[in-house]
Amino acid sequence: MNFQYDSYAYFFDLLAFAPVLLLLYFSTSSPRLRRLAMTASGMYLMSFIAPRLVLFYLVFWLLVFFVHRCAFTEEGGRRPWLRGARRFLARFSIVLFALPLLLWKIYGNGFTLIFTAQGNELLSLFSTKLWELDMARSVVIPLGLSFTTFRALDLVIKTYLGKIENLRLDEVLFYGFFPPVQVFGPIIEYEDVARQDHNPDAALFLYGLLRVTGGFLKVFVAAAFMHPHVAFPAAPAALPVWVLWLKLLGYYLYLYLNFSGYSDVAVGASALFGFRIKENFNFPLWQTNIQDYWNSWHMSLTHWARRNVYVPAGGYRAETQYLAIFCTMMVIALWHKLTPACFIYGLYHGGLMAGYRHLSEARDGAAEGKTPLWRRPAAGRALTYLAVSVSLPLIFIPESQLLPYYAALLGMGR
Amino acid sequence: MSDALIDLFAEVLQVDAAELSDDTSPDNLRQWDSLAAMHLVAAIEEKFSTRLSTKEIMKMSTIGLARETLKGKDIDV
Repeated sequence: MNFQYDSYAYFFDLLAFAPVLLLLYFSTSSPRLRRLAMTASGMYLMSFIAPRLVLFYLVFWLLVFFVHRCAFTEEGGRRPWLRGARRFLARFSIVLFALPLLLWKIYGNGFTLIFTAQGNELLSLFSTKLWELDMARSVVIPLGLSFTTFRALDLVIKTYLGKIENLRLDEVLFYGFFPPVQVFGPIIEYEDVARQDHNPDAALFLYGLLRVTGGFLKVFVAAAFMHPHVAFPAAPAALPVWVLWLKLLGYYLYLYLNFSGYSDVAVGASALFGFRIKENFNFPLWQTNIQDYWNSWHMSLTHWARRNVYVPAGGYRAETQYLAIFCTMMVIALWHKLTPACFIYGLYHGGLMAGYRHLSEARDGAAEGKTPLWRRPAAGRALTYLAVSVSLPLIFIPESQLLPYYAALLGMGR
Repeated sequence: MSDALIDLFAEVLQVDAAELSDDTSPDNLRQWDSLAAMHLVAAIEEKFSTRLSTKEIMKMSTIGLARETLKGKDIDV
Protein backbone atom coordinates (compact mmCIF):
# COMPACT_ATOMS: atom_id res chain seq x y z
CA MET A 1 0.00 0.00 0.00
CA ASN A 2 1.31 3.42 -0.86
CA PHE A 3 -0.38 6.32 0.87
CA GLN A 4 2.16 8.89 -0.23
CA TYR A 5 0.78 12.20 -1.40
CA ASP A 6 1.99 13.77 -4.62
CA SER A 7 3.93 16.65 -3.13
CA TYR A 8 3.80 18.61 -6.36
CA ALA A 9 0.06 19.04 -5.96
CA TYR A 10 0.24 21.10 -2.77
CA PHE A 11 2.66 23.57 -4.27
CA PHE A 12 0.63 23.94 -7.44
CA ASP A 13 -2.45 24.56 -5.31
CA LEU A 14 -0.47 27.12 -3.31
CA LEU A 15 0.75 28.79 -6.47
CA ALA A 16 -2.72 28.85 -8.03
CA PHE A 17 -4.24 30.24 -4.84
CA ALA A 18 -1.44 32.77 -4.19
CA PRO A 19 -3.00 35.69 -6.14
CA VAL A 20 -6.24 35.40 -4.11
CA LEU A 21 -4.32 35.07 -0.88
CA LEU A 22 -2.08 38.04 -1.69
CA LEU A 23 -5.15 40.12 -2.47
CA LEU A 24 -6.85 39.06 0.75
CA TYR A 25 -3.73 39.59 2.84
CA PHE A 26 -2.83 43.02 1.55
CA SER A 27 -6.40 44.29 1.39
CA THR A 28 -6.09 45.05 5.09
CA SER A 29 -3.31 46.41 7.28
CA SER A 30 -4.79 44.87 10.41
CA PRO A 31 -2.47 42.11 11.69
CA ARG A 32 -5.48 40.32 13.16
CA LEU A 33 -7.33 40.19 9.83
CA ARG A 34 -4.14 39.21 8.04
CA ARG A 35 -3.65 36.33 10.43
CA LEU A 36 -7.23 35.29 9.87
CA ALA A 37 -6.81 35.39 6.07
CA MET A 38 -3.60 33.39 6.19
CA THR A 39 -4.90 30.81 8.66
CA ALA A 40 -8.12 30.31 6.71
CA SER A 41 -6.09 29.93 3.51
CA GLY A 42 -3.80 27.38 5.14
CA MET A 43 -6.83 25.37 6.21
CA TYR A 44 -8.45 25.72 2.79
CA LEU A 45 -5.32 24.47 1.01
CA MET A 46 -4.99 21.59 3.43
CA SER A 47 -8.62 20.65 2.90
CA PHE A 48 -7.76 19.98 -0.76
CA ILE A 49 -5.58 17.14 0.49
CA ALA A 50 -8.24 15.95 2.94
CA PRO A 51 -10.58 17.81 5.34
CA ARG A 52 -9.70 15.34 8.11
CA LEU A 53 -6.23 16.91 8.21
CA VAL A 54 -7.72 20.32 8.94
CA LEU A 55 -9.73 18.91 11.83
CA PHE A 56 -6.73 17.08 13.25
CA TYR A 57 -4.39 20.06 13.02
CA LEU A 58 -7.00 22.42 14.40
CA VAL A 59 -7.37 20.27 17.52
CA PHE A 60 -3.57 19.88 17.67
CA TRP A 61 -2.91 23.64 17.61
CA LEU A 62 -5.75 24.35 20.04
CA LEU A 63 -3.99 22.03 22.47
CA VAL A 64 -0.68 23.80 21.77
CA PHE A 65 -2.39 27.10 22.52
CA PHE A 66 -3.81 25.75 25.76
CA VAL A 67 -0.41 24.45 26.87
CA HIS A 68 1.26 27.70 25.83
CA ARG A 69 -1.16 29.86 27.79
CA CYS A 70 -2.03 27.69 30.74
CA ALA A 71 0.38 24.87 31.45
CA PHE A 72 3.48 26.79 32.48
CA THR A 73 1.81 29.43 34.58
CA GLU A 74 2.07 29.29 38.35
CA GLU A 75 -1.46 30.58 38.74
CA GLY A 76 -3.98 27.92 39.50
CA GLY A 77 -6.86 29.66 41.14
CA ARG A 78 -8.62 27.85 43.93
CA ARG A 79 -9.24 24.66 42.06
CA PRO A 80 -6.57 22.05 42.86
CA TRP A 81 -7.62 19.81 39.95
CA LEU A 82 -6.89 22.64 37.55
CA ARG A 83 -3.45 23.19 39.03
CA GLY A 84 -2.88 19.45 38.80
CA ALA A 85 -4.02 19.35 35.16
CA ARG A 86 -1.70 22.23 34.32
CA ARG A 87 1.27 20.59 35.98
CA PHE A 88 0.49 17.35 34.17
CA LEU A 89 0.26 19.12 30.82
CA ALA A 90 3.48 21.05 31.42
CA ARG A 91 5.37 17.88 32.24
CA PHE A 92 3.93 15.73 29.51
CA SER A 93 3.29 18.23 26.75
CA ILE A 94 6.45 17.18 24.89
CA VAL A 95 5.25 13.57 24.84
CA LEU A 96 1.71 14.64 24.04
CA PHE A 97 2.70 16.61 20.95
CA ALA A 98 5.28 14.10 19.77
CA LEU A 99 2.89 11.16 20.21
CA PRO A 100 1.04 11.31 16.84
CA LEU A 101 4.37 11.50 15.00
CA LEU A 102 5.81 8.61 17.01
CA LEU A 103 2.70 6.48 16.43
CA TRP A 104 2.87 7.19 12.72
CA LYS A 105 6.58 6.35 12.55
CA ILE A 106 6.04 3.13 14.53
CA TYR A 107 2.84 1.84 12.95
CA GLY A 108 3.12 3.37 9.46
CA ASN A 109 0.23 2.34 7.23
CA GLY A 110 -1.77 0.99 10.18
CA PHE A 111 -1.72 4.42 11.77
CA THR A 112 -2.61 6.08 8.48
CA LEU A 113 -5.64 3.85 8.04
CA ILE A 114 -6.89 4.41 11.59
CA PHE A 115 -6.18 8.14 11.31
CA THR A 116 -8.19 8.27 8.08
CA ALA A 117 -11.14 6.25 9.39
CA GLN A 118 -11.36 8.05 12.72
CA GLY A 119 -10.83 11.47 11.17
CA ASN A 120 -13.56 10.79 8.67
CA GLU A 121 -15.95 9.59 11.35
CA LEU A 122 -15.26 12.62 13.53
CA LEU A 123 -15.97 14.93 10.61
CA SER A 124 -19.42 13.40 10.26
CA LEU A 125 -20.22 14.79 13.73
CA PHE A 126 -19.65 18.31 12.46
CA SER A 127 -20.87 18.35 8.88
CA THR A 128 -22.23 15.83 6.42
CA LYS A 129 -20.84 17.91 3.56
CA LEU A 130 -17.32 17.78 4.99
CA TRP A 131 -17.71 14.07 5.67
CA GLU A 132 -18.67 13.50 2.02
CA LEU A 133 -15.77 15.59 0.82
CA ASP A 134 -13.39 13.68 3.02
CA MET A 135 -14.75 10.33 1.86
CA ALA A 136 -13.93 11.37 -1.70
CA ARG A 137 -10.28 12.04 -0.79
CA SER A 138 -7.59 9.41 -0.86
CA VAL A 139 -6.13 7.70 2.14
CA VAL A 140 -2.96 9.71 2.67
CA ILE A 141 -0.27 9.90 5.31
CA PRO A 142 -0.80 12.68 7.87
CA LEU A 143 0.94 15.20 5.70
CA GLY A 144 3.02 17.85 7.41
CA LEU A 145 2.96 16.01 10.74
CA SER A 146 6.75 16.05 11.21
CA PHE A 147 7.08 19.76 10.54
CA THR A 148 4.00 20.55 12.61
CA THR A 149 5.33 18.51 15.52
CA PHE A 150 8.70 20.26 15.44
CA ARG A 151 7.11 23.70 15.22
CA ALA A 152 4.78 22.90 18.11
CA LEU A 153 7.55 21.49 20.31
CA ASP A 154 9.70 24.52 19.59
CA LEU A 155 6.89 26.83 20.71
CA VAL A 156 6.21 24.80 23.84
CA ILE A 157 9.90 24.67 24.79
CA LYS A 158 10.29 28.40 24.21
CA THR A 159 7.26 28.94 26.41
CA TYR A 160 8.89 26.83 29.11
CA LEU A 161 12.07 28.89 28.77
CA GLY A 162 10.09 32.11 28.99
CA LYS A 163 11.20 33.25 25.53
CA ILE A 164 7.67 33.46 24.13
CA GLU A 165 4.72 34.46 26.25
CA ASN A 166 1.02 35.15 26.02
CA LEU A 167 0.35 34.53 22.35
CA ARG A 168 -3.25 34.93 21.26
CA LEU A 169 -5.14 32.02 19.74
CA ASP A 170 -5.10 33.56 16.27
CA GLU A 171 -1.31 34.02 16.52
CA VAL A 172 -0.79 30.35 17.37
CA LEU A 173 -3.12 29.21 14.58
CA PHE A 174 -1.38 31.54 12.13
CA TYR A 175 1.95 29.94 13.04
CA GLY A 176 0.40 26.47 12.76
CA PHE A 177 -1.30 26.95 9.39
CA PHE A 178 1.23 29.27 7.71
CA PRO A 179 0.68 28.01 4.13
CA PRO A 180 4.19 28.22 2.62
CA VAL A 181 5.66 25.81 5.19
CA GLN A 182 2.81 23.82 6.68
CA VAL A 183 3.23 20.72 4.57
CA PHE A 184 6.88 20.47 3.52
CA GLY A 185 8.75 22.78 5.88
CA PRO A 186 11.20 24.28 6.53
CA ILE A 187 10.66 24.23 10.29
CA ILE A 188 10.11 27.89 11.01
CA GLU A 189 10.34 29.42 14.49
CA TYR A 190 7.53 31.59 15.80
CA GLU A 191 9.82 34.63 15.73
CA ASP A 192 10.18 34.23 11.94
CA VAL A 193 6.52 35.11 11.41
CA ALA A 194 5.79 37.06 14.56
CA ARG A 195 5.11 40.36 12.80
CA GLN A 196 2.28 40.58 10.33
CA ASP A 197 2.11 44.38 10.14
CA HIS A 198 4.73 45.00 7.49
CA ASN A 199 4.56 44.75 3.72
CA PRO A 200 7.31 43.55 1.42
CA ASP A 201 9.07 46.28 -0.52
CA ALA A 202 9.44 45.84 -4.29
CA ALA A 203 12.88 44.27 -3.90
CA LEU A 204 11.66 41.66 -1.41
CA PHE A 205 8.59 40.88 -3.53
CA LEU A 206 10.76 40.42 -6.63
CA TYR A 207 13.19 38.33 -4.60
CA GLY A 208 10.26 36.18 -3.53
CA LEU A 209 9.12 35.69 -7.11
CA LEU A 210 12.63 34.76 -8.21
CA ARG A 211 13.03 32.26 -5.37
CA VAL A 212 9.68 30.64 -6.17
CA THR A 213 10.59 30.44 -9.87
CA GLY A 214 14.07 29.13 -9.10
CA GLY A 215 12.63 26.58 -6.71
CA PHE A 216 10.16 25.29 -9.28
CA LEU A 217 12.93 25.07 -11.89
CA LYS A 218 15.10 23.11 -9.49
CA VAL A 219 12.32 20.65 -8.65
CA PHE A 220 10.47 20.29 -11.93
CA VAL A 221 13.29 20.71 -14.42
CA ALA A 222 16.67 19.86 -12.91
CA ALA A 223 15.66 17.26 -10.32
CA ALA A 224 12.93 15.76 -12.49
CA PHE A 225 15.43 15.38 -15.33
CA MET A 226 18.04 13.81 -13.06
CA HIS A 227 15.80 11.38 -11.21
CA PRO A 228 15.55 8.59 -13.80
CA HIS A 229 19.31 8.68 -14.27
CA VAL A 230 20.30 8.53 -10.62
CA ALA A 231 17.49 6.53 -8.99
CA PHE A 232 18.71 3.52 -7.05
CA PRO A 233 18.59 0.53 -9.42
CA ALA A 234 16.38 -2.47 -8.68
CA ALA A 235 19.14 -4.86 -9.73
CA PRO A 236 22.42 -3.17 -8.77
CA ALA A 237 24.55 -6.26 -9.44
CA ALA A 238 23.63 -6.03 -13.11
CA LEU A 239 25.37 -2.65 -13.47
CA PRO A 240 29.09 -1.90 -13.64
CA VAL A 241 30.55 -0.68 -10.35
CA TRP A 242 31.53 2.71 -11.75
CA VAL A 243 27.96 3.31 -12.94
CA LEU A 244 26.63 2.50 -9.47
CA TRP A 245 29.04 4.98 -7.91
CA LEU A 246 28.17 7.64 -10.45
CA LYS A 247 24.47 7.14 -9.75
CA LEU A 248 25.05 7.29 -6.01
CA LEU A 249 27.05 10.53 -6.22
CA GLY A 250 24.42 11.93 -8.60
CA TYR A 251 21.62 10.95 -6.23
CA TYR A 252 23.02 13.29 -3.59
CA LEU A 253 22.93 16.15 -6.09
CA TYR A 254 19.39 15.19 -7.14
CA LEU A 255 18.28 15.10 -3.52
CA TYR A 256 19.73 18.53 -2.91
CA LEU A 257 18.05 20.02 -5.98
CA ASN A 258 14.70 18.49 -5.12
CA PHE A 259 14.65 19.28 -1.40
CA SER A 260 16.24 22.72 -1.62
CA GLY A 261 13.89 23.53 -4.52
CA TYR A 262 10.88 23.02 -2.27
CA SER A 263 12.58 25.11 0.41
CA ASP A 264 13.23 27.86 -2.15
CA VAL A 265 9.52 27.90 -2.98
CA ALA A 266 8.67 28.18 0.73
CA VAL A 267 11.25 30.93 1.33
CA GLY A 268 10.08 32.78 -1.79
CA ALA A 269 6.37 32.42 -1.05
CA SER A 270 6.99 33.74 2.48
CA ALA A 271 8.88 36.74 1.05
CA LEU A 272 5.87 37.61 -1.11
CA PHE A 273 3.98 38.26 2.12
CA GLY A 274 6.87 40.17 3.68
CA PHE A 275 8.37 37.36 5.78
CA ARG A 276 12.06 36.57 5.67
CA ILE A 277 12.12 33.02 6.96
CA LYS A 278 15.51 31.43 7.54
CA GLU A 279 17.28 29.57 4.78
CA ASN A 280 17.17 25.79 4.86
CA PHE A 281 20.32 25.12 2.81
CA ASN A 282 23.66 26.86 2.49
CA PHE A 283 25.63 25.11 -0.27
CA PRO A 284 25.85 21.79 1.61
CA LEU A 285 27.52 20.04 -1.32
CA TRP A 286 30.39 22.51 -1.14
CA GLN A 287 31.26 22.05 2.52
CA THR A 288 34.70 20.90 3.55
CA ASN A 289 33.83 18.84 6.62
CA ILE A 290 30.95 16.91 8.12
CA GLN A 291 30.19 19.52 10.78
CA ASP A 292 29.81 22.26 8.17
CA TYR A 293 27.70 19.88 6.10
CA TRP A 294 25.24 19.44 8.97
CA ASN A 295 25.30 23.18 9.55
CA SER A 296 24.24 23.75 5.96
CA TRP A 297 21.87 20.85 5.09
CA HIS A 298 18.22 21.07 6.17
CA MET A 299 19.35 23.79 8.57
CA SER A 300 15.91 24.34 10.04
CA LEU A 301 15.97 20.74 11.32
CA THR A 302 19.59 20.79 12.51
CA HIS A 303 19.10 24.14 14.26
CA TRP A 304 15.92 22.80 15.85
CA ALA A 305 17.82 19.72 17.00
CA ARG A 306 20.68 21.84 18.33
CA ARG A 307 18.31 24.00 20.38
CA ASN A 308 16.04 21.27 21.63
CA VAL A 309 18.13 18.08 21.76
CA TYR A 310 21.84 18.87 21.64
CA VAL A 311 21.86 21.59 24.31
CA PRO A 312 19.56 19.84 26.81
CA ALA A 313 21.50 16.60 26.28
CA GLY A 314 24.62 18.38 27.53
CA GLY A 315 26.24 19.40 24.25
CA TYR A 316 27.70 22.54 25.77
CA ARG A 317 29.51 20.61 28.50
CA ALA A 318 32.86 19.00 27.75
CA GLU A 319 32.01 15.84 29.67
CA THR A 320 28.71 15.16 27.86
CA GLN A 321 29.30 16.66 24.43
CA TYR A 322 29.84 13.33 22.64
CA LEU A 323 26.72 11.81 24.14
CA ALA A 324 24.80 14.90 23.01
CA ILE A 325 26.19 14.55 19.48
CA PHE A 326 24.96 10.96 19.26
CA CYS A 327 21.55 11.82 20.74
CA THR A 328 21.12 14.66 18.25
CA MET A 329 22.16 12.64 15.22
CA MET A 330 19.90 9.81 16.33
CA VAL A 331 16.88 12.12 16.53
CA ILE A 332 17.66 13.49 13.07
CA ALA A 333 18.16 9.97 11.70
CA LEU A 334 15.06 8.43 13.26
CA TRP A 335 12.99 11.40 12.15
CA HIS A 336 13.30 9.94 8.65
CA LYS A 337 12.13 6.47 9.63
CA LEU A 338 12.14 4.31 12.75
CA THR A 339 14.15 1.50 11.18
CA PRO A 340 17.42 -0.30 11.99
CA ALA A 341 18.91 1.23 8.81
CA CYS A 342 18.14 4.74 10.03
CA PHE A 343 19.57 3.79 13.42
CA ILE A 344 22.80 2.86 11.63
CA TYR A 345 22.59 6.16 9.71
CA GLY A 346 22.41 8.00 13.04
CA LEU A 347 25.33 6.04 14.48
CA TYR A 348 27.35 6.64 11.31
CA HIS A 349 26.82 10.41 11.25
CA GLY A 350 27.14 10.62 15.03
CA GLY A 351 30.46 8.84 14.71
CA LEU A 352 31.61 11.17 11.94
CA MET A 353 30.59 14.25 13.90
CA ALA A 354 32.20 12.98 17.11
CA GLY A 355 35.37 12.07 15.22
CA TYR A 356 35.52 15.46 13.59
CA ARG A 357 34.92 17.19 16.94
CA HIS A 358 37.72 15.15 18.53
CA LEU A 359 40.14 16.01 15.71
CA SER A 360 39.14 19.69 15.85
CA GLU A 361 39.81 19.86 19.57
CA ALA A 362 43.12 18.06 19.17
CA ARG A 363 44.10 20.46 16.40
CA ASP A 364 43.09 23.50 18.47
CA GLY A 365 45.45 22.34 21.19
CA ALA A 366 48.32 21.48 18.85
CA ALA A 367 51.06 23.73 17.54
CA GLU A 368 50.71 25.22 14.05
CA GLY A 369 52.15 22.89 11.45
CA LYS A 370 51.65 21.59 7.99
CA THR A 371 47.96 21.18 7.08
CA PRO A 372 47.15 17.49 6.68
CA LEU A 373 45.73 16.42 3.34
CA TRP A 374 42.24 15.71 4.69
CA ARG A 375 41.96 19.27 5.98
CA ARG A 376 42.70 20.92 2.65
CA PRO A 377 39.53 22.36 1.11
CA ALA A 378 39.44 20.30 -2.07
CA ALA A 379 40.12 17.02 -0.27
CA GLY A 380 37.67 17.99 2.49
CA ARG A 381 34.93 18.71 -0.03
CA ALA A 382 35.46 15.43 -1.84
CA LEU A 383 35.59 13.41 1.36
CA THR A 384 32.51 15.11 2.80
CA TYR A 385 30.57 14.60 -0.43
CA LEU A 386 31.55 10.94 -0.46
CA ALA A 387 30.83 10.41 3.25
CA VAL A 388 27.33 11.85 2.89
CA SER A 389 26.57 10.04 -0.38
CA VAL A 390 27.39 6.56 0.92
CA SER A 391 24.96 7.00 3.81
CA LEU A 392 21.97 7.95 1.66
CA PRO A 393 20.95 4.38 0.72
CA LEU A 394 20.33 3.72 4.43
CA ILE A 395 17.39 6.10 4.20
CA PHE A 396 16.20 5.73 0.64
CA ILE A 397 16.57 2.02 -0.15
CA PRO A 398 14.25 -0.64 1.33
CA GLU A 399 16.11 -2.52 4.06
CA SER A 400 15.85 -5.87 2.29
CA GLN A 401 17.83 -4.45 -0.63
CA LEU A 402 20.53 -2.70 1.37
CA LEU A 403 23.08 -5.50 1.68
CA PRO A 404 22.91 -6.47 -2.03
CA TYR A 405 23.23 -2.80 -2.94
CA TYR A 406 26.30 -2.12 -0.79
CA ALA A 407 27.83 -5.43 -1.92
CA ALA A 408 27.34 -4.43 -5.57
CA LEU A 409 28.85 -1.04 -4.82
CA LEU A 410 31.98 -2.83 -3.62
CA GLY A 411 31.99 -5.08 -6.68
CA MET A 412 30.82 -8.14 -4.77
CA GLY A 413 27.85 -10.50 -5.22
CA ARG A 414 27.99 -10.56 -8.99
CA MET B 1 32.80 51.84 26.34
CA SER B 2 34.05 48.35 27.12
CA ASP B 3 31.46 45.62 27.59
CA ALA B 4 32.72 42.66 29.60
CA LEU B 5 30.31 40.19 28.04
CA ILE B 6 30.93 41.30 24.46
CA ASP B 7 34.68 41.23 25.10
CA LEU B 8 34.40 37.69 26.43
CA PHE B 9 32.39 36.53 23.41
CA ALA B 10 34.87 38.26 21.08
CA GLU B 11 37.79 36.54 22.76
CA VAL B 12 36.26 33.05 22.70
CA LEU B 13 34.78 33.35 19.20
CA GLN B 14 37.95 35.05 17.94
CA VAL B 15 36.12 37.92 16.24
CA ASP B 16 36.35 41.68 16.54
CA ALA B 17 34.16 42.97 19.39
CA ALA B 18 32.78 45.58 16.98
CA GLU B 19 31.15 42.77 14.98
CA LEU B 20 29.12 41.66 17.98
CA SER B 21 25.92 43.02 19.46
CA ASP B 22 23.14 41.79 21.71
CA ASP B 23 21.41 40.39 18.60
CA THR B 24 24.36 38.18 17.65
CA SER B 25 23.42 34.49 17.67
CA PRO B 26 24.65 31.20 16.20
CA ASP B 27 22.28 31.88 13.30
CA ASN B 28 24.10 35.02 12.20
CA LEU B 29 27.69 34.36 13.28
CA ARG B 30 29.41 31.39 11.71
CA GLN B 31 32.12 31.25 14.38
CA TRP B 32 29.49 30.58 17.05
CA ASP B 33 29.30 26.87 16.35
CA SER B 34 28.59 24.12 18.86
CA LEU B 35 32.25 23.73 19.85
CA ALA B 36 32.62 27.47 20.40
CA ALA B 37 29.36 27.46 22.38
CA MET B 38 30.82 24.87 24.73
CA HIS B 39 33.90 27.04 25.26
CA LEU B 40 31.62 30.05 25.79
CA VAL B 41 29.69 28.35 28.57
CA ALA B 42 32.92 27.40 30.32
CA ALA B 43 34.35 30.91 29.87
CA ILE B 44 31.20 32.61 31.20
CA GLU B 45 31.10 30.33 34.23
CA GLU B 46 34.76 30.96 34.96
CA LYS B 47 34.73 34.72 34.43
CA PHE B 48 31.55 35.37 36.40
CA SER B 49 32.12 32.61 38.97
CA THR B 50 28.76 31.01 38.43
CA ARG B 51 27.23 27.74 37.35
CA LEU B 52 24.68 27.75 34.55
CA SER B 53 21.80 25.29 34.53
CA THR B 54 20.69 23.51 31.37
CA LYS B 55 17.60 25.73 31.22
CA GLU B 56 19.75 28.86 31.45
CA ILE B 57 22.08 27.60 28.74
CA MET B 58 19.07 26.87 26.52
CA LYS B 59 17.87 30.44 27.03
CA MET B 60 21.18 31.98 25.97
CA SER B 61 20.61 31.86 22.23
CA THR B 62 21.81 35.44 21.65
CA ILE B 63 24.31 37.63 23.46
CA GLY B 64 21.39 39.75 24.66
CA LEU B 65 19.66 36.71 26.15
CA ALA B 66 22.94 35.66 27.76
CA ARG B 67 23.15 39.11 29.33
CA GLU B 68 19.54 38.87 30.53
CA THR B 69 20.18 35.41 32.01
CA LEU B 70 23.28 36.59 33.87
CA LYS B 71 21.48 39.66 35.15
CA GLY B 72 18.79 37.29 36.45
CA LYS B 73 21.53 35.69 38.53
CA ASP B 74 22.47 39.11 39.96
CA ILE B 75 25.61 39.29 37.85
CA ASP B 76 26.40 42.79 36.66
CA VAL B 77 27.08 42.62 32.92
